[in-house]
Amino acid sequence: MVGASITYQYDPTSDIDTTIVIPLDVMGTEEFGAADKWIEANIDNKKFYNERPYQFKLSSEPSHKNLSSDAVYDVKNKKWIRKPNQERSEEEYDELIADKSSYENKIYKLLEKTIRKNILNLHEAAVENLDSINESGISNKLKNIMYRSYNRYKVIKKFRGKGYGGRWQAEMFENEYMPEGMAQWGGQALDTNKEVYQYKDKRVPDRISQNWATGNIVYKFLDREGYHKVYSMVKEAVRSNFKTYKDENEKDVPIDKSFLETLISYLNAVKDDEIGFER
Amino acid sequence: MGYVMKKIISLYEWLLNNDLTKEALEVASLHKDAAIIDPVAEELSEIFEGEELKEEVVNTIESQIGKIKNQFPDLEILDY
Repeated sequence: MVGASITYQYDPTSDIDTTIVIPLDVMGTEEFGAADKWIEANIDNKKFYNERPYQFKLSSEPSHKNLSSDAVYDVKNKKWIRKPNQERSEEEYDELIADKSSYENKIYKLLEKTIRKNILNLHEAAVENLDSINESGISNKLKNIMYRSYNRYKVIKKFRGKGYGGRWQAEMFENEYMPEGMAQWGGQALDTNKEVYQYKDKRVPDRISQNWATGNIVYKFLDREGYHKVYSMVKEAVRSNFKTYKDENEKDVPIDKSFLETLISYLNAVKDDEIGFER
Repeated sequence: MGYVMKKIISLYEWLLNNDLTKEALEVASLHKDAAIIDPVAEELSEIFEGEELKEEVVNTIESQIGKIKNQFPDLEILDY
């Protein structure tokens, strides 16, 4: 078992995540994918302990080996493989999350500033389009802003993953989303030469796990403040070429006025948000 | 219509009008995915008895894995 419900940072709905470790050389990648999908459709979220859903993932690699988990519990043998460390969690929480002057909080502040203009542009174009969408569809102005927003979202998603390897700053730099001044905070200056691609977040090996990497923390700040809801809607619209999006029941429905109304409500929640992460 | 039923309906309408149910669900779903940015608890969650996983949880996990094995008989699960 892995995940929040076996650490000291959980809430009443944190999943009960079980990873089933299998040898990939026996099960081919195609069969592996099919089994994973079957589990998602037939097993995941079908049983609950209080409000916690049981979920299962297949993996060819034990997660305790690559430090991707804060804790690992062996269900079969009823023993900890990696015990959650309450004391270190408190230290890292205080140092990285609660301390407003931490590297992570500073990065988030800068990132939020760069996103703000995009959010305001999206909001303005969405409101302008509200009365005409049923007759003439999404305006070209809004489509263009959505395309740009989608590219930005892809970078944001990437730096969550890249955060694990410490390369997300380089990705942002490459995509011109690195705000001025951000580079100096990594403890070393970045520049445009090839060395930038070798940049590693040297702090991560000293942290409890890769969950505590800068990219992942910043991603979770964005999630908590509501930005992902905006960008998820934009992603769905762009990917369907502005034809459909998923409603609250995860069904594909045509893009119409209600799409814009929902998008605007999500934008309203973030457009005047104070810069910096606030609980 | 009985008094209790009227009360339930008016409460339901009030919740809908104030969109509180939707908001509560949204907060819950946001909260779910953000563990490391939340404060650290004093104890492990209620699925543990002390530091050992509750028997009931172990049994549910084993029965669900049994279903997966039935569906995919060739599935070989590695032990640590």
